[in-house]
Amino acid sequence: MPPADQTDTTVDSDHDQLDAGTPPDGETGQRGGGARRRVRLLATLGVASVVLVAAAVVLAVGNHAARANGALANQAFVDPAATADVVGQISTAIKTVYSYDYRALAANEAAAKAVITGKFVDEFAQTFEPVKQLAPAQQAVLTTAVPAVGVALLRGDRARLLMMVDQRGTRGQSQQLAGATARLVVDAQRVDGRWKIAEVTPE
Amino acid sequence: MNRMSTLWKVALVLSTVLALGSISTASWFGYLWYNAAQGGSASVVDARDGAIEATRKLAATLQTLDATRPEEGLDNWAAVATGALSDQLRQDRAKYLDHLKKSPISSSATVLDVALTELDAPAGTATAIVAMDVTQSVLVHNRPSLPVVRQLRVKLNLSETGEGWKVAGTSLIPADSGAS
Repeated sequence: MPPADQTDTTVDSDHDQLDAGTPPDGETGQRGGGARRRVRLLATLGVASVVLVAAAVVLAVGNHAARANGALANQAFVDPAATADVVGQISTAIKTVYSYDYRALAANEAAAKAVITGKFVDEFAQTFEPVKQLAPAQQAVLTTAVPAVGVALLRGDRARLLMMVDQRGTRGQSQQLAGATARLVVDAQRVDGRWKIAEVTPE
Repeated sequence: MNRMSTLWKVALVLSTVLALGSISTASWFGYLWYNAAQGGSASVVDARDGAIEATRKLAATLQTLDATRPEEGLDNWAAVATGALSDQLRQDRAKYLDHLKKSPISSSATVLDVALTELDAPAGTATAIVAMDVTQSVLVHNRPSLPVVRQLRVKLNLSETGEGWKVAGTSLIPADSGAS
């Protein structure tokens, strides 16, 4: 604890100064009394500081433990703005990743790659490769909607969401329709301040 | 004498600043810790975790029915309902019983995942979504048919009552018609 040491040094050096400069008789009583009071005052302040710094350390550790490991470690709904952020960004990311238009596959792929990270990068590549090969011939268009999103966990740069997802696809000139509904558990990771999809687990 | 009093002043100012600084630091961490354990955040955490835990049971109860004992099933539903859902169950009880007599369907539920979409801790209300599988079988000549598993997406409007969280309304999340 450097601050406490500093105080002790100050007290000591002040004491040395007083000893070295002990004046001749006559004034000794008065000035010695003043010096003792000063030393006592400084010592009291020093001891108080040491105790208070120790208290601050104990309280800081307690606070950290309560927040890092307790129920507060999950900030979902505790921090409404952060909760809304992850919901908004990951909803958009899911729509982006699971939507495509055979006329704009390159743009779709680039947009999707900007909102994914980690494990999901490979998974996306695997699912999008056949799309690139087949979609133009089929004139396939896929759009995805997210009718409901819940946040289960929000801890630092990690989040877990439950998402209800709908897909509608059309093929060819006839606009033949096909639809699917899904329940996805999405693990999100914040990279450079943006939430990205790290893993998707269908239920 | 001059040098000494300057030193003394510096020492006094330094140690006063240190003492005051450590008072504020200690108070700040004390406040944060207290707030983590007792403050508004703690009550949000209690509401959130309580609502999620309750939802697992509530959702399962409302999708569970033994067609051979319909009265008991409806009583179980009523026990977890409040507000509008409670009123509706009371009003339509005879209708439900009649319906179950004509097409006796037993169902049991497995809750896969639960998350909240909304939480208002002070008001004691929340909205939860549930991914669940419901296994249904029709009673044919009083014997259950082969089961059919339905993959449901359920929304529950929750309300905190004196007896814990209950369901004020429930609906299925349908396939979005106008995907956007």
